[in-house]
Amino acid sequence: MPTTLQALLAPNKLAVQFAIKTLLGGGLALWLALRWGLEQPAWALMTAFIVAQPLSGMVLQKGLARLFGTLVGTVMSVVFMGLFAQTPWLFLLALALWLALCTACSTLLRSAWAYSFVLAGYTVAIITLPAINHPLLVFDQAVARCTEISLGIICATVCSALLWPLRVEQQLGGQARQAWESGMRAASATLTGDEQGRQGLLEILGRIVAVDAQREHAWFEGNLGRQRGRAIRGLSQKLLILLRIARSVRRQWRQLDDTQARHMAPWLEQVQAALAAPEPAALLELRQRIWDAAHDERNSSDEHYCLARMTLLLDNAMAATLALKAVEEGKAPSDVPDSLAVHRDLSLALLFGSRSALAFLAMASFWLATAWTAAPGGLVLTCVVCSLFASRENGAQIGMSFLRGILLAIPVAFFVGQILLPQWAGFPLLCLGMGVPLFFGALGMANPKIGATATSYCLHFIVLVAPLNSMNFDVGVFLNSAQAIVLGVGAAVLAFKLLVLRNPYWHGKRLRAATQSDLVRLTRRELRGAETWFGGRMADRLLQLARHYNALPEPERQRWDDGLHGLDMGDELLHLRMCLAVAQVPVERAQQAYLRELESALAEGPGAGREQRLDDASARFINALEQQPLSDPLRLAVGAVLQLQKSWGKWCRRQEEIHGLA
Amino acid sequence: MGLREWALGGILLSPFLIYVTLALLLTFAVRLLLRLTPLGRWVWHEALFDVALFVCILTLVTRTLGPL
Repeated sequence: MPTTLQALLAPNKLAVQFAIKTLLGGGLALWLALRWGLEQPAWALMTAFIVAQPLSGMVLQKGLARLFGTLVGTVMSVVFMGLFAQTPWLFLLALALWLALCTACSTLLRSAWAYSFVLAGYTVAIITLPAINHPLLVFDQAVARCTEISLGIICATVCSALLWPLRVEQQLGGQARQAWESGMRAASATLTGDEQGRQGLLEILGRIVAVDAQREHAWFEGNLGRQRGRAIRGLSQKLLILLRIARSVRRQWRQLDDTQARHMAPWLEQVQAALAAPEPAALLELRQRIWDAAHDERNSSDEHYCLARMTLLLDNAMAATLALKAVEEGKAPSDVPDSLAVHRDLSLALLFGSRSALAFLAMASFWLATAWTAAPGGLVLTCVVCSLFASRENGAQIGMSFLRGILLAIPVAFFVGQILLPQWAGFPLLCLGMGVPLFFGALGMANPKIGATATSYCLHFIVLVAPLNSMNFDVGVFLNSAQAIVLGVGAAVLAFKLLVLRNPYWHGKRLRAATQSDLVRLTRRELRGAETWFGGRMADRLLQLARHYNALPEPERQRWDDGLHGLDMGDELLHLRMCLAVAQVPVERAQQAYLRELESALAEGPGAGREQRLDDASARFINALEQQPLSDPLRLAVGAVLQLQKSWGKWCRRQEEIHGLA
Repeated sequence: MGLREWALGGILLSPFLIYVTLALLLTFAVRLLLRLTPLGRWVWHEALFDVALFVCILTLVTRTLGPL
């Protein structure tokens, strides 16, 4: 494997720095744990490796999440032991339920803090399972595990903050600029046509979500990090608006007939050129010219809408540029929008949760049936793998690389733990014996491609060697725990493989239903923050749809278009409501009537034969709007109503096509 | 039934471990055979089928080798 060889034999500077940092943090934790005579120093060393991340903000965030989760898990383990010490089956059932709950919550949370829930779940298993035969010792065990884990977190954090600190917020500037550049490119591609627009849209949505996810880590890096994190929120919002308006310009463009399109073509080209090389001064100047052109009396109303939307587009391009500047300078604007909302899926979370519980119960039944003394070790690993990777798309794949890491760790740990260490004594030699294999493991951890295997290798190497103040070397115990580990992880991988939840049809249908309910809420929701709420959730959903896109046969790919139609409807709806809010015309009653009609149409959903559902309501509302004194926002509002009607018709026709194919 | 431990350099190994390894190898062989012949087309849920096949073969192995 060239990747592995390259990562291990010719690592780059960053990987070596990361390996040294991690190793020093782990060594410090191990030394302190041995010095203070903690019960199982291996836990401190292991924690230092688990929380090791390339960037210091990430280490602190992960460490804190782990600490919170561990504390909750510790308390819960004492509670469970107190309640069910005499009834093993009830105890295991309660533990399975707790695990399901934690997995479900971590799937729902969809942020870096979800890790806390994972920890709260499996800490209970870590503490109670080995203590099940001595319930009275559970409190001591709980305190010991908590101390060891906290020690590991503190040592790893200190090392990563002091040695070659790599800060998230410094990278944020570069990532933000990339996101901004690809946002401009995507907006310009959207203006040209659909096919280029789709790829560009996916790329930019992915980037926006990725940059936004870094915010939580940057928060831990002092004032500058916090300011940058807040500024990123502004940038994400501006970029989403930019994409939204670019799509709306394109939609409006399609309404133009040939002569109108020829008339407008020079403007479109200029806008594209300006977006390709965005200069604030040039953007401002072009915006002014288009604005003047839009007010030309000779323009038809379609042309006017088109030009007015182009000025909006340029306005937002300038706003996005300002937001980028704010990120780069690390000065948060005073009015930061809400953070991007994410799409939450309760039933998927419950399914993932029950999968963890099932795997755990299967393994627990095996344990109780065989009364194998080493089984709790495997059981703990089943919990760990099931809850850690439950919410990942490729859980089975990660589980397999986890298994590969274990198979690598067993012979190495056998050589070090059973052959070398019995002849060596003292901490320096222990460090030498464990440090060399762990150094290579840490080098692998720095490479994302083999990261999962390398992490699992390091962790199981530590578990199998189990450094103690007074070591006891027993080949039988070693073989038993090695078998239990393989069996435990195997059970988890089996659960992932057997209960596949990757049916693309089902996912597509659920995402469509969620989009529809969002659209319904958008007709009523307060306008403030609606942009980030709808935009963030739709970005999340479109990314999820795209993940299934390649798995689908050609005709079924329209599900993705389905998502895009939903996005278009939402965009026009937002645009309409904003125009009406700016226009401030007394059409309350007509507006309410129209929105209610729209709401009921959306609640019913698009379908064959429903194209004309909005025609009457739209005509009435436009009529009411045209009674009012003419103003710019009002004209745009009329355009938005027409667009809504057209988008709805298109969405309905799309349904017909899908049904025709099915 | 003569389920006896296997002595390996002074360590006693469960006979079941040997059976599991043997059954695993046999399952791989049967799977390969199925994949090469048109029979593999009839499998609905591959992972589920593999597990079931493994359990069946493990039972057979234990029943045949157990009394020896």
